Order: sequence, then C-alpha cells, then structure tokens
Amino acid sequence: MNPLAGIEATVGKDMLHKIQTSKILLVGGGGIGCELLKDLSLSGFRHVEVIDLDTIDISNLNRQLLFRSQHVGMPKCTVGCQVAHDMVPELEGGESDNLPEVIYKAHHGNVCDASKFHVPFIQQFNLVLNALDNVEARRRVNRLCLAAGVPLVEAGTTGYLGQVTVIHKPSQVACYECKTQETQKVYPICTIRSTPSMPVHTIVWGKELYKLLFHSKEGESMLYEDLEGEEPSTYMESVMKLRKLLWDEGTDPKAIAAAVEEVLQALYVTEIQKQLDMGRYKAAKKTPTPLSNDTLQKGCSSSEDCASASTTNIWSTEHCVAQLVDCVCMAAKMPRNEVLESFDKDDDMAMRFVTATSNLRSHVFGIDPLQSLYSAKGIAGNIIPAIATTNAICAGLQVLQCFKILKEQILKGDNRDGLDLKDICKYINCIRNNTRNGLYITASQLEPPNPNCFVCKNANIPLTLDVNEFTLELFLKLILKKRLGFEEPTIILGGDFIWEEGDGADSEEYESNLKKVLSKLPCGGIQHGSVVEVDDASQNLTIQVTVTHQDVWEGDEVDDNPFIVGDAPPHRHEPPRKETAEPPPAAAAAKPATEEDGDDDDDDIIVMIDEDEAKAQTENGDKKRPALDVEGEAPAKRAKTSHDDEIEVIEID
Amino acid sequence: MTTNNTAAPTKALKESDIYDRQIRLWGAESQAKMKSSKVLYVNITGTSAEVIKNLVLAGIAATLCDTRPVEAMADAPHFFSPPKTSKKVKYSSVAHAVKPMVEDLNMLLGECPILEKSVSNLGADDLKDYTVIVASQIPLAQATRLAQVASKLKKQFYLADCFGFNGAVLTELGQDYHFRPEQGKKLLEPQPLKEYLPLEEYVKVPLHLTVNRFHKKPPKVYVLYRCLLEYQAKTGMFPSQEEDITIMQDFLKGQQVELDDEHLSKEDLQQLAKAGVAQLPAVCSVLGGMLGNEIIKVISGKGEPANNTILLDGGLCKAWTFLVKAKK
Repeated sequence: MNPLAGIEATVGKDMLHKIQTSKILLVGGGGIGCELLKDLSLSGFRHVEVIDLDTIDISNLNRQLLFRSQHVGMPKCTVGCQVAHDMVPELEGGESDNLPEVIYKAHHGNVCDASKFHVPFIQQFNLVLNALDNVEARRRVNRLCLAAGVPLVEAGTTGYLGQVTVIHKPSQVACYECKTQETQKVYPICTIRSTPSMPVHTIVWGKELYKLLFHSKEGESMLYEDLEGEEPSTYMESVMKLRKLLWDEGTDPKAIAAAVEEVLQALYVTEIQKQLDMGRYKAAKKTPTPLSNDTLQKGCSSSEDCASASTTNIWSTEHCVAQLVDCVCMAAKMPRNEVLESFDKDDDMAMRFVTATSNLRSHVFGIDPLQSLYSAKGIAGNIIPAIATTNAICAGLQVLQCFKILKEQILKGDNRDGLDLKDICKYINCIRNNTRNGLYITASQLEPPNPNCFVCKNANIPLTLDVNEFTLELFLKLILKKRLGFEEPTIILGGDFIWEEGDGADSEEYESNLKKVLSKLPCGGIQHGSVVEVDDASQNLTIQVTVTHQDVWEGDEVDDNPFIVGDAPPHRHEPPRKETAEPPPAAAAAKPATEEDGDDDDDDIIVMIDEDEAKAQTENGDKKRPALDVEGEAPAKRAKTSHDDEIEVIEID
Repeated sequence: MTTNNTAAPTKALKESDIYDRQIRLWGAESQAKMKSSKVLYVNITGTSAEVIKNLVLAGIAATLCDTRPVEAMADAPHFFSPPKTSKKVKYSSVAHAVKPMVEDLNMLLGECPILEKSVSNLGADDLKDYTVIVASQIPLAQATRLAQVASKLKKQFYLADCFGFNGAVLTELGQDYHFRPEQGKKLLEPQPLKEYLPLEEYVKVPLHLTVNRFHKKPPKVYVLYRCLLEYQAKTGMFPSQEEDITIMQDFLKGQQVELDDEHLSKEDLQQLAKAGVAQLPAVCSVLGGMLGNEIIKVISGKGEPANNTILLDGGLCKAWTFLVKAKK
C-alpha cells in the first residue's frame, strides 16, 4: 500500500509530485521547528534544509517532540534532521525512481551569518518557513526573502497564542518590518539605579550587582562608579574591599562574611538614607525605608541551610540576607574561573543571589510582589511559556499555507515574479478564548505593505541628531546596526565611500573616519539636510537617510546620544489591525506574537513595558533612547545575535 | 551549572525541569492534576496520534486501545508509526506497534498500558479509570454508546477525526460538567455549561436545523463528517477510492440538506468518497493541538471548553466551536 495514497487522494497527483520535488528551507529547529519537521516529513517532502544554532536543553523536552533526554547538548538541527529523515514514508517498488533523494540537511549556524546564508542561498528554495524566537533573526530572514523574491511563511507562539503570516514582496503584502518590532526591553538607567517601581527593576539591579561583585572587570556593571570620581555612591568602597578579599587566597571566611555585611549595610541602609536625606524621594509616590539593622544582623548570623531553600516560597528578609552571605562565601571558596562573570538563570548560586538582592531592594522600596526564586527566574531569564499544542497548531497552519503557495507555483511555473499570493494566503491567529462567533482560529486577508517601510518600500528615512556630537562609530553601531538592522553597511556620501565593511571590504582605509563626528567626515561631511546612502549587499538593501541637525534636546530627550529615526511623533499604540473576514479576536490581535516573541522562551527578549516609561520606548518613528536591555541567557547561547551582549547604558538623570 | 537542590528527590527535580515552560503557563496545581490523570485512546489514527503526542509530552499518561491489525496504519503514517528500522518486527495490533514509540516520547510516564478489547466490548468497567476518552474512526453508534457510558461515569468523551482538509470533534462533557472561566489571570468560580446537550441527542438533530446566526447554512465540515459516519454505518467501513455517492446523497436528502454549487456541491461529496478518512499530517497537527488544549482545560478545570463540536476547515485555515442544537 502506498503510504502517501491518502495524501494524493486529498491534494491530487500534481500537488503530491510538487511536494516531493520542492526544496524547503526551515529556519529554527525548536518548538515550532520540530512540529514543522514532523508535518513536512510525514507529508512526503523530500528536500528540507534546517538552520539552527541552538543545542538541546532539558526544558525543551516538554514540546520539542523529536528530541529525547539522550540528545541534551546536541545541535537541534542535526538531531531534528536525522529523526525527520527517517519519518519520510518509504515508497514501494519503483515509485520513488523518478523522485529526488530524501535529503534533510542540517546547517548548524546563525542565519545572520552572511557568508553562508545570502540571497543566492535562499533562491534555491521554493519557500522558507520561519520557526524563530528572536527579532534579529526574523528581521534577517525577512530581508533575505524579500531580496530573493522567495515566499516566507512566518510564525510565532507565546503560551496559548499563535500567529502565522505570509511575506512575499512580489505579492505586495506587508513584510515583517512593516510594523514596529520591539527588539529590546529598555529601562532608563535611573529607574534601575534610583527609582525602581516594579519587581523587574530590582531584578535587573540584582543582575548588575552580581556583575559588580563577580565580574573580572567591575566597570562592566552599570552600578560601578569610580572611587576617585565625583561623589561615588556610598557602597562602592565596601564593594571594592569585598572584591579584593574574594580573590585573595586564604582569606578567612569570617572576613568575607563581615565584608558582605558591610556591603549590604551600604546598599540597603546607608545609601538609601543618604538619598533620603538629599531629598531625592520628596516627590516620589513611595518613599524607601532603609533595611533595619536588626534584620541585617539576624540574617548575617543565621545558620539556615541556604542551598536547599524553597524555590517556590517567598523568602523572609532575614533569609535573603543569609542567602547573600552564603552565595558570596560559596563563590569565595570556588576557583575564580568557575564563578560566572555575569548572571545566568541556570546557575543556582547566581539565581539565589539575584532573588535575594532583588527582594531586599523591593522590600526597601515597597515594591510588590516579592518573588520566589522560581518566579524571579522567569523574569530574570526572560522565560516565555511554551507548549506543544500551540506549536502544533501553528506549524500545521504554516504547512497548510505552504500547500497554497506550492499550488500557486504549479500554476505559475517558474515565473518567480508572477506569483501572487495576496488573496491566496492568509494572516492567521490562534487564540485561547473563542470569538463571539466561536472561532478559535481566524484567517484574515494579508495586509498591504506600509508605504513608509524602509525595508520593503525603500522609503527614505528621516533622521534627527546632532551632527557635531555623533561620531561615525556611534552612527554605525547605534543607528545603522542596532536600530535599522544592517549587518554590513556601506556608507556613501555625495557619491564617495566613507565606510565599508564585510567580505572583501577595505575597512582599514576608512578606519580613520570612525572617531570623526559626522559633520567632519570627508566629502563635506554629514550636515543638516544631507542625504546619506547606506547599502548592505548581504541583504540587498539600499536606503537613503535624510539628516536633520538638532543640537538642543529638552526634557526627556536629554541623554548622551539622542536621535530620532522617522518623523512621526512618538506613538506607542499601533493602529488596529484591519480584519476583513472576521471580527478581530480581542486577545491576540492586540499584540501579534510574531512581532514580539517566538516560541522558544528563553532565547527571546520579552516586551514588558512600564507604563510610565512607555514614552521613552523605542518604536518606529520614535526617538530611540539607548538604555539597558534585559537579557539573561547562558553564555553559550549569547552568541545568537551580534547585539545580545551589548548592554547599553546611558545616563539620563 | 550548579544545582545543589539535593534535598528534593531526583525525579521531582527532573519533572520540574522538563515541564518548566508549561508550568509557567498553567501552574503547578494544574500540572499535578495532569500527572494524576489518564487518557484512554480508542483507535490510534493520524488524528489521535497528534493528541497523544501533545498530551504525553505535557505529562498526561496514555492507555491504548486498538486491536486493528498494523496494516490499518499503512496508508496514514503518523508520528508513532514504527520506524523503518523496525519493519521486521511483527506487531499483533496497532496498539502494540505504537506502544514503544509512546513510551519513548516521555520516559517520566513509564509503561504505556494497552487495553486489549474491541470497541464494541468496551464498557463502564473499562472506562472508569480514565479522566478522558478519545476515540477516532469508530462507528457513530459506538461513539454514542461510549459517550453515554462516559457521561454516567462523569468522564469526558471525544470523537475526533480528520478527513482531507477538514477535521471535526464531537464532544460529550456530561450533564454535571463544571468549569472555571478565566478572566485574564483570574480564575472565576465554577459554573456549568451555558447549554448542555448529550452527544446521543445532538447527533439526532436534523442537519438542516443545525444553523445559527453566524452559520445560516449547516456548517459544511459538520455535514461532511456526518456523511462519512453515515457511510460507515451503512457499509461497515469508511469510504476510500469510492465513486458512488448514493449513500451520502440519500442521507442528505433525509436530513433536508440540499446540494448547491456554492456551499456544498456534488463535487465535495465525490471528493469525500474518494479520499474518505485520508489524513493530512498538517490538518491532524492543527486539530490535535486544539483537542489537546481542550483536554488540558478539562483536566485542569481551567478555561471555558468548546461545546459541543469543534470544526476545522484546513482549506480556509479556520476553526471554531459550533453548538449543534435544533434551531427553534
């Protein structure tokens, strides 16, 4: 019996043949990726290539169905391809004679690697399926597919919610970047350092405190202040003393404990009191209360077992103090190279440290609710819930969209540009609570492109900054790479190159330009009204930037490197999605998961905007305020995108 | 990585690691309920294989009941089809072939038991140990009977099938079924279904009356599924490569459903007869995910369940719950 007879009876002979001869690229081999591999292989797809740089973690096993506990630590793409390859139904006799060989090929690497994954690479495929968990990689695949003219079926899930959409430039439908993408969660540094109001603020602070104590370069922490500088915070002296004791050999554990007590005293009592005395919190809604000395002493002399404390109950303030003493003493006993330099949610000591420090700070500032270690881990590590069912639904819907695209490709033959998917493919939403008319899965028309999208509409980008302050280096780093997602920008001014990088580029020639401010660059410099051309061959993107010079920045806008991309006034609410066929499902339509986060929780950057700070957030057309991003990934995973370990800290107070 | 939580038993630690990403969604209490629940699967098809996959991954134990010969799986490979390498092993039934694959998927659940009984012999004694029963590709008469038995035992019963681009689930939640609606993160007090109809009753509602304000005509997916079940009832098997649509046409005539070119055409019936219960992996994946969510709702008691059918149109990429009852 032909195992594909049922599929053939449903989709027809031509379509089955198309399935068997198409080449599919799958980007991401995690939760949705595994489901896709299962659906593709069982449907008879014979040529699938998978790009993924991740390795298998134990917390993947509740949904990433192709992996078993013995696979933990192995590359997801390799294991996924092996298993899926063996799931392709075997055809009998001569039925597979004229069909291509079954190839499930793994590319263990980062899709942002322009040397391997470029436009010609993408053009080998009939279509691309995204199963990603971060904005950077999605942006990259979006641009590659737009440039290659290859249809992209995008998906994302968070908990019970999921979305699927199709992106295809010749079809005149919206691309991934037609809408605002939150790339990072940003918090103004003064909120973290002086005016926390949410648990996440104190958790971020705890992560920085960890770095201040344990990082080989204390200056990496945003809490660091030079002792020789102007009025350093009161805690710095005791911190530096503790750091010295920590790494001296043969330090008496009692001396460490005493030094920790001093640090805690400085952080939670002296510094708070000092700020109160200075009238810092006069206008604040809540005034902090210094930690009581009694609590501090009780905690420091506690003999509680810290390592096996409850992970789901909330620790008392005394216990938090005891935890901190225990953590630091434990670190002091370890060889220095075994103590992580930065926080990692999977490190037990680091997690206890951050839970305790953040809760003490929340206690001092009267911030609710206090967090158990378990819940602090969720916040500190940006863990997004993920379940098999939602992934299965979205992957199935992606493959159904795939069928529609392939069917259209049969009709249009090899004419890549003749393909019109506008009315054939859909934007699909999967929700937890059904709509008024009972829908759990809704399909609506794909949206047209945003005419102001600089990615798919090559729109001119207005940029406002101080051309006498911004150096080329900062312009490249903050604006072109971070804000606009360029990988290998070439900058052309008045027909002449002033910067190029990437394969074969002569970077040395232009290196002397890096430190120059924009107005002093060659070819007349970038001045008020200049039009700068920026190319990126690696993603086939060319944009024109029109520069407006502004040297006076007021109020909120005052920070070290202020700039505004776009000319629209700041707005944080997107216009409501136009639902044609069905009323919008309230819960999901408001925030499509594809635009904020993906399936794989921990690698992602969640968006958690403090209402008060919303105005300071980055959005298309908004002012960018470089600030602190929250990321809590294991060091091994940090290489995922080039931006991940760049924490930007800009003073704004 | 240091994990010094030696006080906790190894197994508990492992479970909290493996299930971490879902416990963060539905909480430890729900996970505990899932751990103590069991689902009985009557016939393992492409559709139910997806439900098994989702729920076993999530930590809900499965028991298999499928005495059909392994050849029954030949034309619909699914996630639990035995790997090519084990082709030489001769399994006595579908349940036996699937069992090792299910056990491999989640080692924490241990052995996956088999209930060695044919569908028509299943009774109250067999169903009493399960929280939920999921059947696929069984006769409607059997489904009606099992739904009655389950209802008396206060268990939930589902009949789920994918066919071509479509999928359908008929549910029996029970007279006394209560659920706790969710309001954001808040869980409200338990309440009964707004309107309850036992499966045995709602399948008797003439199709031409199964309409509501959003569906002026009987939903096509539901009508097609009933045609399949009718064909099975008349011939003892589901259609496959069948050209004669007389049985289906007669059935629809009796139900006062008229064929037309727009909503439900003769070609639709011809396609149905030809493909029968042929299942597309992608469609099974969607319906299996939806039913998985429903069963987790039932087991955890959280969230309003779909009442009383779930219909999926994979061609349109739409799925909805539809209350089958006679329009007054």
